[in-house]
Amino acid sequence: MKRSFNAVVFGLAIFQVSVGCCEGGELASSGTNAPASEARQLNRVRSITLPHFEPDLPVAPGRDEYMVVCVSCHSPRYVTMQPLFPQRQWEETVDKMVKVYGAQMDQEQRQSIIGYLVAIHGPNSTTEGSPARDEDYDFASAAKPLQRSETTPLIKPATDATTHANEVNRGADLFKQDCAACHGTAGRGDGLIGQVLLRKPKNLASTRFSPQLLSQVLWNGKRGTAMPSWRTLPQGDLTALAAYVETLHLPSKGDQISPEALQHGNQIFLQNCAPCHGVSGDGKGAAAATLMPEPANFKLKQPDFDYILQVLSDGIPGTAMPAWKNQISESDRRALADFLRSLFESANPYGH
Amino acid sequence: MKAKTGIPGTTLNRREFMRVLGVAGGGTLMAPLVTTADPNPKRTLEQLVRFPEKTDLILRTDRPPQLETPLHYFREDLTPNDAFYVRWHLEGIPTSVDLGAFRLQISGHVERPLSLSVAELRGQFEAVSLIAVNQCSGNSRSFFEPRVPGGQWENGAMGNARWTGVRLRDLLDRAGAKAGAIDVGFSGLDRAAIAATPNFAKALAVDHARDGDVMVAYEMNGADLPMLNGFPLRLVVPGWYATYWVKALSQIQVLPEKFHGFWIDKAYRIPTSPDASESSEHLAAETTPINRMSLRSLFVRPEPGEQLSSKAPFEMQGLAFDSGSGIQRVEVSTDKGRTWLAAQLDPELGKYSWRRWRLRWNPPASGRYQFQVRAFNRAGQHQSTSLWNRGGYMRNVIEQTEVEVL
Repeated sequence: MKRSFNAVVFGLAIFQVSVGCCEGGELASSGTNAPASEARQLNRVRSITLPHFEPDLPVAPGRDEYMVVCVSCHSPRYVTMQPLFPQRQWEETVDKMVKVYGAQMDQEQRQSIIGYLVAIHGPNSTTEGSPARDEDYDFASAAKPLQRSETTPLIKPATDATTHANEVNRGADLFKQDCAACHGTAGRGDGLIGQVLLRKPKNLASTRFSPQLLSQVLWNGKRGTAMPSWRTLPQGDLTALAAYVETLHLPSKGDQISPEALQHGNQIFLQNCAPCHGVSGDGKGAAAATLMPEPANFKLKQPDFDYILQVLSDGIPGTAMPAWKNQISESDRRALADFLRSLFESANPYGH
Repeated sequence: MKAKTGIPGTTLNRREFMRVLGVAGGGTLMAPLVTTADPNPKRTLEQLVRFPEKTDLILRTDRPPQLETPLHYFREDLTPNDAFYVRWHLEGIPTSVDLGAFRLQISGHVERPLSLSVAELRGQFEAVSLIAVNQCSGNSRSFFEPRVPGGQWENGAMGNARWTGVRLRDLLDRAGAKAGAIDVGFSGLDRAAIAATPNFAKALAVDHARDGDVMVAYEMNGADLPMLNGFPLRLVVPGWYATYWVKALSQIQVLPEKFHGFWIDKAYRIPTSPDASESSEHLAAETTPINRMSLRSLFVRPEPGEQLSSKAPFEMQGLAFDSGSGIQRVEVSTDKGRTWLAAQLDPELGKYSWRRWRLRWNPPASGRYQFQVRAFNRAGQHQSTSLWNRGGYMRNVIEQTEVEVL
């Protein structure tokens, strides 16, 4: 209400000021208008940066053709927004894209794309919004791409001490209520329900998380695991939870690692880990697209040295991460652990 | 049944809610708890996103962006700029504008082609201001049955704002439109991703362009336009669907002949029948470019799924608008159309503004109720109970909403 009132009043004010200028006159220079004109001059260039949404497409035949031909002009949401149309409608839509908007595709690509659209968004597809069929709704495969939001709001605990302390206290209460059943009361991943899950709930004391990773996981959940999205909680609760989870991890002493040792760790990483975790360690390696849960992004989280060694030794059950103890020597695993920890980018909380 | 979440404007339908619950309770360990049919299967999870200069809006598509205004913003006369819906057609939308370099070009069939900066527009022409509804042609498309492809909007692809700028007529007079001008064409800074896609351009007949209401706006609700709503200039065509309100307007061309372009000749066309309706089995043979907005009225409160108490009176709220004739009366039925109650109308804010209405209602007993709303305008028009066309345009049927009184 208040906002609307202000908008009306401000609108009137502008109207009254600028109505005085008329054709052929100079730019109004009355006392009230001058500062606005100056501000306008100072802000001559106005820019925005659009959020980036990763194309998030179910795997089905024709996906590659769809990616190449369609996604250059519009995002996949133009498809997933639609009702579940039959093949005839998708044929019509694809043909419209060719005839009307000039999409470039040959006959073979056209067939593949139509097949893909029918598979992911046809009457029998299992994606969003299919007509009431709860009885055969498959919760096991319900870790839907659509559940995921690519524009996660950054959940960032307060920086001033008092507010932060309040957030941590509130977060501790919320954690007991919402998280402890899986993650355990101390966040060690040893809660009662957690014991029957595979993969096991995260030991939150073992890893330092960046604010954006905490935000992403709280907001979207973690696909391929039992971790659900918590975005239905009020924003303040999410912030409190993030603040509390940050306190679970105790900073370990930062040893100085020689550049040579890091270089060595990097070599081992490129040979063994990059196919899944990506050359830069961001979890987007060539094989990553098919893995669930996704490979770790070491720019957004920094596991403790000992935890990395344990994972390298034993792997992570319930994920694609294998045990490396028979392939990589212990000294190399240590070098690798140091290298992985060096990838963490804590300085850039917005993750661009 | 919709479960309200903690995020304003976010609702989960029951299946989504169950999905979240199911996963929270241990994923595959738990079987679905409820197996009754989803009462409203077509509604999907509303995902809110925050784009630059915008508050949380409902994500329809991300690229090019189509963002819908949550219903609760319509409890105000003017829709705040940051909550105003967004709809672009082409991949290349303007994200940066240098006002030092930006010029509005007025050319074609004129004596003196003009090239005007925004400062010159502000300084050299009389400023005018009016409140007008801006509504997407496809607003409410997701309610069409059978469903049609296109932006799957609910009722939030619209907004009401105070637009301030200069009369298009004044610009055309300054440029000296020559005798024999037929149409005036408009295009903006947006660009298609590939050359084969037609760039976005619209046109108005020259008499319409010179009617004194059509405006080149540089302000919206007293502030610069948000970039996603067309900064720095937007064509304002009061009473007409928003497809004509060209965003980031940079070219105006006076034409000595009829304008031809994809976005008028092929897209945004409606059946020529008086109510723009056709049957899905027998599509209309003749179509014409969409134009004036049809009369419609909507509920703002109760929101879908809102629960009322039988112990307290409830103030229903809504809005009604047309293309400029003016709303005469609004009526609400709480008994499936058997009887109609006159709603109280808020003061008029101008002939192109929407007019808000209220109706105080004392729930007689708990139970489920169906409300309907219909408006009448001064041109003697009224709303009907059905409308369908292949484009999913101009939905203006008598709206229904269901509430539960506890």
